[in-house]
Amino acid sequence: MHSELLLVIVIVAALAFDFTNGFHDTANVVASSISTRALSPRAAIAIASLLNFAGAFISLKVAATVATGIVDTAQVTETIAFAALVGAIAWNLLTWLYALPSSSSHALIGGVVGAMLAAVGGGGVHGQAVVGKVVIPAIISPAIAFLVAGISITVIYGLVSRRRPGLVNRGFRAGQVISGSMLALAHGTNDAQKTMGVISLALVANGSLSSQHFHVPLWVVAAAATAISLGTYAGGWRIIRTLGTRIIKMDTAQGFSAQGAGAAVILASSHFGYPLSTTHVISGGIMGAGAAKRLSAVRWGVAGNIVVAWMLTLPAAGLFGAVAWWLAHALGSGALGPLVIAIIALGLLAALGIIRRRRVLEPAPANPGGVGS
Amino acid sequence: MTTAAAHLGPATIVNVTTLAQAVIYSLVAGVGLAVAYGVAVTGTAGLLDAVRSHRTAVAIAWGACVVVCAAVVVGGIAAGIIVMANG
Repeated sequence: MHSELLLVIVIVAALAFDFTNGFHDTANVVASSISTRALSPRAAIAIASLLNFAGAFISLKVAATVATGIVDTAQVTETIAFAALVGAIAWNLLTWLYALPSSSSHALIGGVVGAMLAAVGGGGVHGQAVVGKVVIPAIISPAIAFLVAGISITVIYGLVSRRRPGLVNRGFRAGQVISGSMLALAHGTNDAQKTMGVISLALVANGSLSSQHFHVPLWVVAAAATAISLGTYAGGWRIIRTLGTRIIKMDTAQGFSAQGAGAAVILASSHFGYPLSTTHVISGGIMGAGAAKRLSAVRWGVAGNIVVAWMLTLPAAGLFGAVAWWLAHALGSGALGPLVIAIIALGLLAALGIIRRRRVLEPAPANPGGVGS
Repeated sequence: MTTAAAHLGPATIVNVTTLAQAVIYSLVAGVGLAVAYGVAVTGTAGLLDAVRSHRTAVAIAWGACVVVCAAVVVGGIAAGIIVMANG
């Protein structure tokens, strides 16, 4: 009974994380399209939401990496999975509150590693896999997106330099609908799978799923797809503004190149099972598209703040995950600890909502070169 | 991390072949499709200019170029999704 209740709490927490992931990462997917006015904010978010849902059904390799690749599945308990999710959600909400586009993916992996280290020590974590499948791809992926976007925009500017700007702009505006859609699909593919991975971990810990014959049940895929697409639809205006206008001001060709680079890197990496961060990748693409035109076009200070948030994500989410595990463990080994933490978390969530409401926010920024209209 | 793992070099920790494949796929797909689309855009502009100035042969050449590039973009995207879905 306790085990079933605990499993339900973990699944609800996982889907809540997935929702915050979609909410938090909407900016990555739609910022470029909105900032160049290729799409209205509402249309961009609706398309992203639908394609996030569809993307979740494309591949399961990242889910397998998260569920079986980075920690010793045999030692995972439902409480560890729950603590990991609490760590990730806490970090996601904190960075959302301060409008920092940190990585939801790395928050989740940081939470898993932190909770596992607190619960069973270093023996439960596959250190090599964390470095090889998470840390190194995390470092390389923004650089590749930077390079792809930089090369693409340089060649594109060479191709269209003698053409009428109005026609070219219209062409790339249409292109941004395609590249933005691909980015949304890629986001759904890579990010929804991480939640599927954690739910699968909890199912293995519960004994409902065999680690020997690992597979992700269809209902898990459908639930994760629904949660991320609803989160995406709910949107995240503050982070959209940071990514869409504060890194660089983009033209349509740059937006197209940045989104295309992001989609290519995320889809290729998902195919090989790397749980990448869409935030890292699209930020790399945006900076690459800006730097190729003019180095000073990139607001390196804002980019620097984002890099700091990235560097903090794994250890901070890990710390939150570890603290959540210690708290849950202190309250006993059953469902009581997670239940109490879930109630405290809901209270904190309500407090965050109140803090956010007290701040002066712009639901649709009116910057002429920016987002919203 | 175990003591043995601590002595492993980066190449052992990382599956270099897989990572290199991911990088190459990203570069080829990202740059290739973006450039193909760029050619399609410039081709469309060239086609419209040629039609406007009644240069039929040039218009046909640009039209063919646009069709080929559009096919490359659509085919590339479809192939990518199929490869992903088939694992």
